[in-house]
Amino acid sequence: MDQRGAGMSEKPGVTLSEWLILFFAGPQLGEAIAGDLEEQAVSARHSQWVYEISVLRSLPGLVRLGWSNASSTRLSSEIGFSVLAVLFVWMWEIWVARIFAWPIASNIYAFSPLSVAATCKLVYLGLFALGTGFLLSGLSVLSALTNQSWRVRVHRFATWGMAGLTPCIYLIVNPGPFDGGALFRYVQIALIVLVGSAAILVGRSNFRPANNATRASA
Amino acid sequence: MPNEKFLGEFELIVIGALMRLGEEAYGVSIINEIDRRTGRDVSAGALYATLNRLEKKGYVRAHMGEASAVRGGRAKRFFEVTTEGRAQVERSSVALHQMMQGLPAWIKGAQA
Repeated sequence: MDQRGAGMSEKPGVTLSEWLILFFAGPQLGEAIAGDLEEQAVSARHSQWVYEISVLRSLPGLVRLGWSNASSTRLSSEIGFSVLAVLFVWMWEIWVARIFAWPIASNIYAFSPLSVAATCKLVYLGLFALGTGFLLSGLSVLSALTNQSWRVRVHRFATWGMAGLTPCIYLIVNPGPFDGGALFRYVQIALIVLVGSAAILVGRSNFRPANNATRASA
Repeated sequence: MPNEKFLGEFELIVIGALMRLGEEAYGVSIINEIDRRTGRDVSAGALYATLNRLEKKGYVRAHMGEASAVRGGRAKRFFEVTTEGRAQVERSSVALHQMMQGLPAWIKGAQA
């Protein structure tokens, strides 16, 4: 048996090339494409770099394939849910976390070993966690009502990304929740969208299309 | 007939390869068949994007085979042309033939 072929089958992780194929083509089609490229490389006694070049050559087609598959009703629902989640997190930040962080902190900082500003940041994060809890509870209820748990799985991931990571990053680049100018607000919005989008794209691997019938390979 | 039902040149080539290969039509064999007959070096991504489009049009259907060691433990995806696909190939061939008829003789197949 070809050593490279055996090696690939035993490899526990996923290489960047395989990840790209799976990302654009999905799990089932991606497996077939990766297998084809592997078979071509092995039968031609090519080395790993030829395999990688084959993947690079295939990228334009894979992107077209990914886009074609993505522009379905499924993605529309993903985008719809994500937009709602982003709006919720954003409004929660504007109307709840920002407004109530300081009043709460100013009342409880006397019981805290931290400074007022640090207490305020903690309260701000705590309020964000509360908002996330509300959103996740809502999604769980929605899941129970619609029997669509996959949507909740993906959006739970996206929501954690948006509601958890974003304020943390925001507080790292910004001295406090109240000190940010317009630029920081735009950066925050961009981060929310970026982190949420990345989370959703990664979450696509949760989707498993219905298995087709299998038959023996030739 | 809606626009998306027409076959493009490469779609026609791919379906032709599927019809020639029969039950053995999967990624590598299709690429090799196209290369052998047309000299066209097709990437796997381009091929699968076209096959995916043909599947959506209902001209091709696919099913997964079993995994093999030479493919790194990955399964093949076999393709076959549907009845509708065969009918569409016939329509496209007739249309192509009619368009080519009467053209100068230096175009191969024009006088066929």
